[in-house]
Amino acid sequence: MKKLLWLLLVLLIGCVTTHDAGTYLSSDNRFSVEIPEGWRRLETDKYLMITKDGPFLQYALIQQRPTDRPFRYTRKSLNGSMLPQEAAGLIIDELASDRNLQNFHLIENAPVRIDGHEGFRILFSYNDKKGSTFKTLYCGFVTGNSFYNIRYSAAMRHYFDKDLATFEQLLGTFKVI
Amino acid sequence: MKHLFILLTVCWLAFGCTTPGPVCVYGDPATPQYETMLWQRAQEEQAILNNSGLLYPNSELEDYLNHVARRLQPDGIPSDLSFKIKVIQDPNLNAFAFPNGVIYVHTGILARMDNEAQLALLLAHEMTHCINRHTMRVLGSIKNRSKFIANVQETLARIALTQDVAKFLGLTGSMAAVAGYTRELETEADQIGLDIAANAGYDVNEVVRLFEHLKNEMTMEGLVEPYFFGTHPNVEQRIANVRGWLNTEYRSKNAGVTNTLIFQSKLSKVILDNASLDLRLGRFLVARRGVKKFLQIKPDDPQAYYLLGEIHRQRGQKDDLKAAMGFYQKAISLNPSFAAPHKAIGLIHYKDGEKHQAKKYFETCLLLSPDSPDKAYIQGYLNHCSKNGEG
Repeated sequence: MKKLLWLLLVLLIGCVTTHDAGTYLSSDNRFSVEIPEGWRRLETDKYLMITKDGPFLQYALIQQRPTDRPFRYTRKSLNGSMLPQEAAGLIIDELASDRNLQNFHLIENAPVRIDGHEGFRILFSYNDKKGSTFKTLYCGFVTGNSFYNIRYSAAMRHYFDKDLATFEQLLGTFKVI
Repeated sequence: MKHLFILLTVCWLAFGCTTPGPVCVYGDPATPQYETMLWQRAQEEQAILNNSGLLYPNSELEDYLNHVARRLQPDGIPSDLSFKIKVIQDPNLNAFAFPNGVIYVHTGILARMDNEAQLALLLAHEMTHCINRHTMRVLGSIKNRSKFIANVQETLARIALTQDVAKFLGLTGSMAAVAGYTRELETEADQIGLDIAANAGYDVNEVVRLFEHLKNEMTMEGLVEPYFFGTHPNVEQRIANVRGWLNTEYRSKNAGVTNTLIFQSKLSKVILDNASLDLRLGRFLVARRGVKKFLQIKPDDPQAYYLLGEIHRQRGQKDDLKAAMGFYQKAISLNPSFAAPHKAIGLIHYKDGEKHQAKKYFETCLLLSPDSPDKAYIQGYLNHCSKNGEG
């Protein structure tokens, strides 16, 4: 039991690890991005997460995943021959099947260019389990055997609009290496 | 105490703050206040579920289901037990009842039924859990609390690993929706449910067809359905049980009604909508069967042909694109102003490098639906077609 408590404590401490703003190079040398001033970073082997006021209020998340890695809910898989619209459709199917995203509502689905790659931009809102409303801008593209997704999620009230421009700037600095 | 702490920790991790906690495990079922508390807990869990966006918005369907439930309702049940049927948008095969008489039925299980008799048998099974107070009986009979806690933990772990609606439920809901009751109580619900349906004039032979039908659906594509048909006793045992009862107690009874036509007219939209949910999850074969079933009821529905096209296009196996093209064309022939199949055909041509053909279909799509939500993509394709000298 003590081990469980220690594990919880370590997880909680892990969430507040802080690093400096500036150029970030992923540990596997796959991508780089400029972390804005005042944002803190949490890196795992699965994604990079950065936040200014804490992940429960706002965060940006960058993830690279192999296209053949199965998704949690949908059995469909991405592939390099997909158009951005098709990839977006698959991601929407995955998000809409996620029961953690209550009252999932798609607001926008449009093409976007990220670091020269043709991708998609999905804007949606949802409620978390406590009933709070969040808004997420989910951008992604497929290149080779990799799917990159760069997301910004924040409490819809007050926070989302406040830091959206900062996220757009971050998105502009994203580079596949 | 150690087990209590583990259970509380697991519940906290699984449900966070919104789901009612496991308090009722530790109350005393022998007290009269206990059932009141259980009902209150059930209402709290229902409120969370009802606000989750998962309910299927179709009041006409709910009216019909509640009409069937009223027909089934036996005399002499407690006056405060009022049955209410709600539908959840979920392609999994499940249905579950809260102790206060509120029954949730997934679109997945509704879409697989053939007639009102099968629906009645399902509802009668769930109603029996409420009428015979199965939740109270389970909680009241717990002698080995450690074992019970272990079972709840296992249930919660299963919930955490699935996308199922049970994520929103606390103990009463998850017991009903996921863990199931004991083998004896499930058997009792099957047997009494059969009685209730027979007394209401339904053809109870349909129960075997329902069970076998659903079992086949589960094995097809290897669907994991740990709920309605995975609970003890397993589906084979349940089929054997009902066959036994039908061959003895119900042998001399007149065949009841199935009300197939009224059922089909009320449920056809559910079948198509549920096929869309199956497609969303990438269950191509099941989705296709759903659409085919719908087309037997409404053979000239353009939306259904469009969905068949989508199933084939998204699956992308050998000859799928050719088949998809045929279904899209059929949808257009049934409704020439239906924009979506025009776009889909445009996409197939576009990916094949047939820009001239693609352009024609994309332009028609935008003409038919100028405010299409994916207008920006289509404009991009058109620009690309023009740049490549196909304009």
